[in-house]
Amino acid sequence: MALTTVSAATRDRFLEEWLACTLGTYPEQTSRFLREEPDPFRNPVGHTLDVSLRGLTVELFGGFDRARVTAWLDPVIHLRAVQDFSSADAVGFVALARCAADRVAERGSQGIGPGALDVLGTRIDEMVLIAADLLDRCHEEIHAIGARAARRRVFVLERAQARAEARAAARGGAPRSAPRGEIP
Amino acid sequence: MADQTPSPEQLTQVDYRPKGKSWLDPHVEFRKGTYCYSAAPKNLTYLGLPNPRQWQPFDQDWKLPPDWKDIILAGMKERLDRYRSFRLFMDICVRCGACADKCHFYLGSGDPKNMPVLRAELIRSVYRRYFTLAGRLLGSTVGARDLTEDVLKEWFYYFYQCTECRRCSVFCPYGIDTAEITMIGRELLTLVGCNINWVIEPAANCFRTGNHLGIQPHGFKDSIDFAVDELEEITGVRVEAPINRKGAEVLFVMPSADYFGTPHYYTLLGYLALFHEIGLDYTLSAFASEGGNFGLFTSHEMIKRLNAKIYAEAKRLGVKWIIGGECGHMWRVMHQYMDTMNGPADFLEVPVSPITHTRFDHAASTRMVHICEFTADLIRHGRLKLDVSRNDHWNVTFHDSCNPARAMGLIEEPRYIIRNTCRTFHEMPENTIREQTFCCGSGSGLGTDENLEMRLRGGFPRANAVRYVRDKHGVNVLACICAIDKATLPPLLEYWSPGVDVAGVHEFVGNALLMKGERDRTTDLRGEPFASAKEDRAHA
Repeated sequence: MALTTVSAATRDRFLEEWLACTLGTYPEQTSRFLREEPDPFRNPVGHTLDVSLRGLTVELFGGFDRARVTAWLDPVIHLRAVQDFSSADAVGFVALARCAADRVAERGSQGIGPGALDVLGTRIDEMVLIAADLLDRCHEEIHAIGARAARRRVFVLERAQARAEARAAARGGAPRSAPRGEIP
Repeated sequence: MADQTPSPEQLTQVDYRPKGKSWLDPHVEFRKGTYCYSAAPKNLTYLGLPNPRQWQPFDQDWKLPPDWKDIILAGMKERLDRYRSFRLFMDICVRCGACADKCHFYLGSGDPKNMPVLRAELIRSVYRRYFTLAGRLLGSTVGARDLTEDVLKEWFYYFYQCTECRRCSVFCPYGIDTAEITMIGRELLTLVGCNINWVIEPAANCFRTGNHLGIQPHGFKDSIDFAVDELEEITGVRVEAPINRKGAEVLFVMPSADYFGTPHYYTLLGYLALFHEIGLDYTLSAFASEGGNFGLFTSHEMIKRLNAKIYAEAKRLGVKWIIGGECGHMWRVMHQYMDTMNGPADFLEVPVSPITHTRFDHAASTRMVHICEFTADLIRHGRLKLDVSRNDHWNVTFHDSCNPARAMGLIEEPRYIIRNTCRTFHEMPENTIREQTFCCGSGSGLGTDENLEMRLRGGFPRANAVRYVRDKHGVNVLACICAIDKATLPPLLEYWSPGVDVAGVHEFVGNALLMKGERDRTTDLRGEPFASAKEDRAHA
């Protein structure tokens, strides 16, 4: 496989470029902060991007295990699914890996050869599709979370109402009306 | 017609980068999931607030009054004259940037206008334009800008993205409290009828029935009776929960979510078990049936109106002092506003615990003690029999709720209770707790369903720290002492840190408490088997 022969320095350059492109999708004032603040708790977004893109780079130039790629992509997609991005922009950072690869390839013998670039492009395309699936799952998850939150709000009231109805039935009458009064 | 089909070369020229936008552009896009719905006219009418009408933030026409600009500027002038702090906050910021990266909404969203300095600048720029000589003469060159409809919409968007958590103020070398700027911003918006239903409806309900849900006295009694029944089923002990009992020593006020929300409800069971076990002479009030005060998110005048019932009920029932339950912003109001707005409470006594005889001098003025202070004192004096193994199924971390931590300094007491009721406790990283705690992302009236996407952004820094202790120490529950936290942290953690539950501190007390006459308990207050019961079952 042509990609395994790519030097560690070239892989690092690719990561650097990809990270820069991805940070460039945030406003200028923010991307500087995301890049420079090293504390993972003061800068959770920058830290997540850094760790995940690092892992994904290893996969792109290595074994490209689908399960591992999904695991690395997941935290970033979770983030971008709720940030101010359209769906295309949320997963678009994966496609930016192509720009990063092109920039590194332009550097000739120190970069990525044409054969390796083709394989890399195919892998990036596959990664975009995985990212799209993950984004879809995040949206479904958000809806399910909203539904569960609504359920929690009535959990006690429903049980109380059921008990009141059971007691009223035992007495042979009807339960009292719902305790909540609306503003007319 | 010319062929529009792109050539293969054009197809490969895809620009993957999102379009950029200047921060000076006030136009905001109200995307679903990132804003709260407007207040319903009936709720504004009920409270006597201006400009009730049907509208939504995504509408082009917000149906503002014709003289809306004059109203806002007159309101601003009035507040600049009335609140010296507001004028000071408008003038003294030097843009040092110390607050810039401290807001959870900025950290989660990356939107520069969520930097506290820039959010304040949205209103400061208008102040400069109309209330300073330099701004009037030089305009945009000194950072001044005209008040336009777009600017007003921008205020609405961003002042309803600030949770008034005050984390930024911890880091400001000048002591600027950006939460107070947000409060004034929301007051000004309210003058022209631009507010959100998740704040105004609870406020209207509260004004009418004493609690956010609009539960009437008989409904309140039903809810408490149900909790008494359930506690008996779990513990075998029948407790008393007196309501509106005149002559009791203590009035107990809690957030209404404690008697209808989950997991809040288990905290209520904990209070009831505790008060019974120590024989506290107390009463609940069906009228002061809400400690929370959504006036804090509307206007100073509304805070006062909604808070008045606490002292009024204490006086009517003839109690000596007040205990308040686990709630966040309720305590900001009690601790920082109640005394001057509706006091002095000279008809009450300085709180003294009838069990330990500890005198709570710090509450000498408000005459109101936090339940965690009260319980920590009981534990400190060895007045509770506790079996900590009953909480062995919980591996706990503690989230300092913003208002108790930053507005009243309640930091050690909840930890003391947890350490004495649970065996496994791990702190989150130091720069995410205590005074530096990260907000849940849903405070100050933003915890509504339609705003979930924004809440998940804002809550990310908090959830990130929770995830860290989950992965490192196996933490499976996040304890907190705020009703909004208990409602909004579960969705947050489901998204960012699955497998971590949320609980109130007094739920642990109720689990561990050995009650006189209790049955051989095998379950906690949620009806879940104790760890020891699980082991027994495994060995059987």
